[in-house]
Amino acid sequence: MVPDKTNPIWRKIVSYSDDYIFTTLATKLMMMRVKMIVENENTNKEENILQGIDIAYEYFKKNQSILIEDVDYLFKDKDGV
Amino acid sequence: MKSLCTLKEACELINQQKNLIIAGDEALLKQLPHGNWIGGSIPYFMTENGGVTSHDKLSVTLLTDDFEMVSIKQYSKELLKNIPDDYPENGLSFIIIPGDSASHFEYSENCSTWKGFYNSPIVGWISGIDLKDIGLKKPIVINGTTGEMEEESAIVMHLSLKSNKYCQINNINLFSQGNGDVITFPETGTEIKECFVNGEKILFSKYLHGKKISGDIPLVANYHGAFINVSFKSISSQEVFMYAPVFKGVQYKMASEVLNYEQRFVTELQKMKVKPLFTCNCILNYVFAHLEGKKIGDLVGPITFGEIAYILLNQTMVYVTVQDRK
Repeated sequence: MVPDKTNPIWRKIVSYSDDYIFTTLATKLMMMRVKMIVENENTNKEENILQGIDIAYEYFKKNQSILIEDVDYLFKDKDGV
Repeated sequence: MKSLCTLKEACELINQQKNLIIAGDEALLKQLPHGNWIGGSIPYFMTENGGVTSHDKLSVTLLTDDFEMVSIKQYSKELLKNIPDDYPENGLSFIIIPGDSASHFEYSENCSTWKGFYNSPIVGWISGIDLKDIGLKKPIVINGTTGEMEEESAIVMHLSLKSNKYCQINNINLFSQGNGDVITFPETGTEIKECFVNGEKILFSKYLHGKKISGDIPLVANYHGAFINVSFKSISSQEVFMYAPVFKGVQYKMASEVLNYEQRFVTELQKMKVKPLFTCNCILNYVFAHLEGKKIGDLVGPITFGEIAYILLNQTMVYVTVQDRK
């Protein structure tokens, strides 16, 4: 199960996305978008992270039943499942 | 179903109220009756007999009974950002965009910024023309429900899928990043003047000329393990034109050389576990790999001016599978 948006794991995922290995093409592309937002130096860092969390959370929440490998990898035994 | 249909065969499928995605010469598309279909111009196809150029046959993707059509909608450049609002709850959106149109450029540069863009699968292609007609004709798309033809707007068929199924979009890219310089760009776009090579500013064209890079292999970015190509349209003395935008903040490298395209494709296809619903491949693979008359596994479908697997891709094969939910 995808954890609540307030779970600290989201901040870790969006801030250090290069440290993760994603399985599905859609997740890889979506996380690249998140990375570009988070690393944008022209806007507020904290706002960027929160925006990244919103995008990633909505994506995983909506698709959790079909992103089993990515969801298990990211959240299993990390207060998510 | 065979890979290419005659006009009469395509008309019969339309008249049976089937949901269809159709690729073919503009002159043929215009003769099709109204119905549940969208279409785009292109005369190049992967068939069971290999790559072919045809002006008298159509590639028809028949959407199975697992799908139900929700809507067919046209989106101008300004309205493209609303596409995610029209996504089905569980399904697939098929998009065809006229090549070199305002919607083509808008989609390629900005699609990933649209709210909810990645929340549902969107797949498709950029329509084109016979390479001999470049400068003479324009690529088009057609809304089959009205027969309306468009040179600037995109057409999308939104489909819902049975609740026990889901769609997955994937790609086969024979290119990967080479071991060369890290190239970044100060701006997002398809027309490039300057770049940074290992952090040092230089005219991109000068860099390419110096490295004797002619443009048959793409720039490649690594999107968390997915290699994303950006292909060269032309290289002049001052400017470089690309088929898809490079993005500010993304690191690119020149691709490593691909030897024996056909065999590499077959090897990649053998890893595929599910027969795809739809496949398209890039015109640049067709041209540079000399795929005319060569069979690429069992995959069939249009050979296009750009492939869409969520974002616009270049020199890539894209496919969609329908899978059972566990």
